[in-house]
Amino acid sequence: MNTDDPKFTAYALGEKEDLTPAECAEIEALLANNPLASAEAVEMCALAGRLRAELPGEEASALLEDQRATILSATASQAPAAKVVRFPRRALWWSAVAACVVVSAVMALLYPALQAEKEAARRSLAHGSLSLGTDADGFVADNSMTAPRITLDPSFSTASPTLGAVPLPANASASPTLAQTVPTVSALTTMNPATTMPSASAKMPQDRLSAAMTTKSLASDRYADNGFVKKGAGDLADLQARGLREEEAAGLKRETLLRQGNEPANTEAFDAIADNAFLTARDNPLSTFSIDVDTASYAIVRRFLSQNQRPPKGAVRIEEMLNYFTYNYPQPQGDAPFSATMEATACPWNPEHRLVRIGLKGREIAKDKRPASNLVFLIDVSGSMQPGNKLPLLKQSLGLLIDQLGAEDRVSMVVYAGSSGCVLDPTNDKAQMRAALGKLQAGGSTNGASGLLLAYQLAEKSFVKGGTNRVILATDGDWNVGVTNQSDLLDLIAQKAKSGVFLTVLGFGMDNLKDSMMVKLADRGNGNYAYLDTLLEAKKVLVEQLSGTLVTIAKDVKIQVEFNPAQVGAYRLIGYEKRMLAKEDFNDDKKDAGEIGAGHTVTALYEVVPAGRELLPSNKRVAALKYQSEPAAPDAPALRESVIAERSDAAPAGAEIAKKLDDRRLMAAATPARKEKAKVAPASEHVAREMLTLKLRYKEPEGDTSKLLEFPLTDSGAGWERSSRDLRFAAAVAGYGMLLRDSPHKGQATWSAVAEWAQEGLGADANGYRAEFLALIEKAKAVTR
Amino acid sequence: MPAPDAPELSALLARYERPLVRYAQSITGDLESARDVVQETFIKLARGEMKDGAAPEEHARHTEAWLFTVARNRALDHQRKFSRIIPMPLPEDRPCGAPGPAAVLERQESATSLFRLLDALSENQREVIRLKFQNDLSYREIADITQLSVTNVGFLLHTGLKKLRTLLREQTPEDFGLSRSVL
Repeated sequence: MNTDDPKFTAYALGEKEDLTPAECAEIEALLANNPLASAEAVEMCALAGRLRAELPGEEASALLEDQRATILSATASQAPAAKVVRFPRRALWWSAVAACVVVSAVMALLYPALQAEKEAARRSLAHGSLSLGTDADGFVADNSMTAPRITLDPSFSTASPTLGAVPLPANASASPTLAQTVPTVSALTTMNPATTMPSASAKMPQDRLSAAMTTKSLASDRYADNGFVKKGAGDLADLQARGLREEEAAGLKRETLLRQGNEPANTEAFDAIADNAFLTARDNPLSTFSIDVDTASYAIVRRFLSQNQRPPKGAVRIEEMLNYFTYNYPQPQGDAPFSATMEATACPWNPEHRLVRIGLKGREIAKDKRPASNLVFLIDVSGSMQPGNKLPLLKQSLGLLIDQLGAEDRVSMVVYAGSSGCVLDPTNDKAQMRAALGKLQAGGSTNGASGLLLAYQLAEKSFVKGGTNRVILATDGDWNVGVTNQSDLLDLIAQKAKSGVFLTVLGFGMDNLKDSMMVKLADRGNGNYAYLDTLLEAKKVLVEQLSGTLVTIAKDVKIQVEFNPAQVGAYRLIGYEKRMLAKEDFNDDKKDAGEIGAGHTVTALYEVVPAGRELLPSNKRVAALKYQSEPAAPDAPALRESVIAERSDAAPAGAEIAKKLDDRRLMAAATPARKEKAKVAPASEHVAREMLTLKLRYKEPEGDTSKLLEFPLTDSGAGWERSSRDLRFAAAVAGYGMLLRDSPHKGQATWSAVAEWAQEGLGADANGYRAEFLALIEKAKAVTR
Repeated sequence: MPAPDAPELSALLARYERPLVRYAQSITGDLESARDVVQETFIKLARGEMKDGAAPEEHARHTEAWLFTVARNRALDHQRKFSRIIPMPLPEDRPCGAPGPAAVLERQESATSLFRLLDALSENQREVIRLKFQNDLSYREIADITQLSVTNVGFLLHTGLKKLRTLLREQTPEDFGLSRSVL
């Protein structure tokens, strides 16, 4: 059996009457195992839908009046009783529609992906591969497994700085540690405040996803659910009985779903996120995650706040907020596509902890040096796109993008709603682009699947070797007809991403934004995801940071941080919950990860509990083991006891604090000396002082093998007062996110403290993004009160 | 079976006269003979010439298939008799009913391109696609009407749709129109 068999077509059209059960089973197996076959079926359903919709619209003449009279007079019987004649047409019609639903149901049933992934998430840590919704319980279980007991040893105190702005050695390949690392101590402290160059900041690349977890049962998620498909078929039957037309049915279907949803007033879909927990360095020395340059969450939260609403916790993704801003990281040197910078300071919301910032910056590409691009705009013109903040904003936004294009850049345009079609063949004629854009109008229901297929086909057809090949999907993500089975779509997209066509997702609108779906689409499609709530935001993403949005300079960028248990008791990665990878995934080139665009900056923060500090009881996830004793910290066993004693006293004596200060001074004093001695000091001693080593893996945009870079960081113990403005600002953003999420780790963070940190980190703020953030803090303070 | 009574006949007439005229016209190529064909078809029905073979609950469907079958045979007879080959005019050349709302116009525009593509298919393919999607008939009913085997119908639909998809992919933008609001 293959897709070229007429029986396959019959199945897709819902004609199973003449198929044997064996044939049905064979086809179902094919659909389950072969993404191409399911794509084929999707396309077939789409075409069938179009034919059903359009062919009956063909002009059909009536008989002439006298012909009709002749017929009626020919009838033999004149019985007056009015009988109702039942016409089968509508029934047939509906059975065909139902058949399409059934095809998708079958795919859903057979496609193990969804279930398998749920299982996987529930069971364990295969973080990297999770991409579909799983539930919150699964995720929590997950965490508790990876986050075992936490006990720490005491150590020195708060502030003692170090850090290294480490220029990326060119092209370091895979060799281990120290080789290329020459941390320069000071760098950041002297860093220039301001500097937020508008160019690259965070935008959106692909990201995330993974253990997605739970969602409030919102429409898009429901569609992915087998339960829904069956239910949908039931609805169809009901509607059929009432003789409703399909568009009415689609509307009703959605309404029904909404009514069933937990939050009827809100049809936006955000996956829940559970905060990363503290992990002990001894048991979990490796922290592995994928980079993320999406920025959508920041804009989504802004939109909620601007309406005086508290954003749902699931919409607050701290990594996307951090990456919304551009930081003043150095340009990469040599051949490396990006630079890495690290800095440690006292954690402002928990002064006993350290806050470590890891910053990557992608090579900037001047506008005129941007490689030729082949862009396919895939535009949702369904009825739900009608409001002013959707299609009209979309048209303006893409207009801005078109203005930026050069003669080498080609654009084509596909629109989709109930069906899909190409409205602009690839061209570099901007007038044509604008004309096509101008003609768009919204109407109809949304079938994203067939449009995606068409868009990718177009992109592949006009593929530019060595250039930018990208599908730019602009939608509210509210797909309500056709195959909206998530796993099918995601598989399809993942497959297409391998062909070198990447994806940018631009989210629009509110009320029914299907955020979770878009996050996943961008993730699987080697893409990035931005949410455009205003024209200003469109300008940031599509004008100021266009190169970053379009040009991928490294893909599958993974970060693995190895913590030194001698220095670090426990650590917590702030944000990136959906980007976590299993440690084995780091060296596995088959594991997908995030992309970094030209000029993008990626920032990650760790909250680190120095070795020897006790974690708060609330952070202990697992009780102490009975059969294994806690290994004592090699360097400070005595101090450990004193800290424990201090806690049990609950009244920290001034003496203790003084002691800590002394320790810190000692550390600070030791640090510069160390630099002198570094050359002669034995490697082991040198290494023992390191706090962590940052390991990066990335692939060239068209490569299959990853390269490895490593940079160690030694904490000099520098206090907050010596931290860079960028770090302060980033800490403020993290604090803002934690407060909005009401994170258990927010510590002493308050709205006014966050505002203060942000103010300190404001810098020159050329584009005013940071100032806007200050205003948002005020707003958030009011809204969450 | 007994001939339908007047109200029943009126209902059937109202329901099927246009689809049948359209179908017949796709065979005969001209409206006038298509109307004649449909008139004859209904007269046969009125005279009780339809054989009763179906269970009562199948009656309506049976009637529908019967009407299409008779219309088809008549149309083919007619065509043979006059052996005129008149190319089917494009939809936009045909008389248009009352101008509908914009959506209807858009639908027609985009349908126009689809009809143009249909013209590229073989006559057989076109016919089964019409019966299937324009008149919502099942494979089996189509087989009965066209006197082909179900397998044949399946094959024609399969190859026809495949070709249509290929053509759609090559579509030029202006053929496509902008309306997606087809459902």
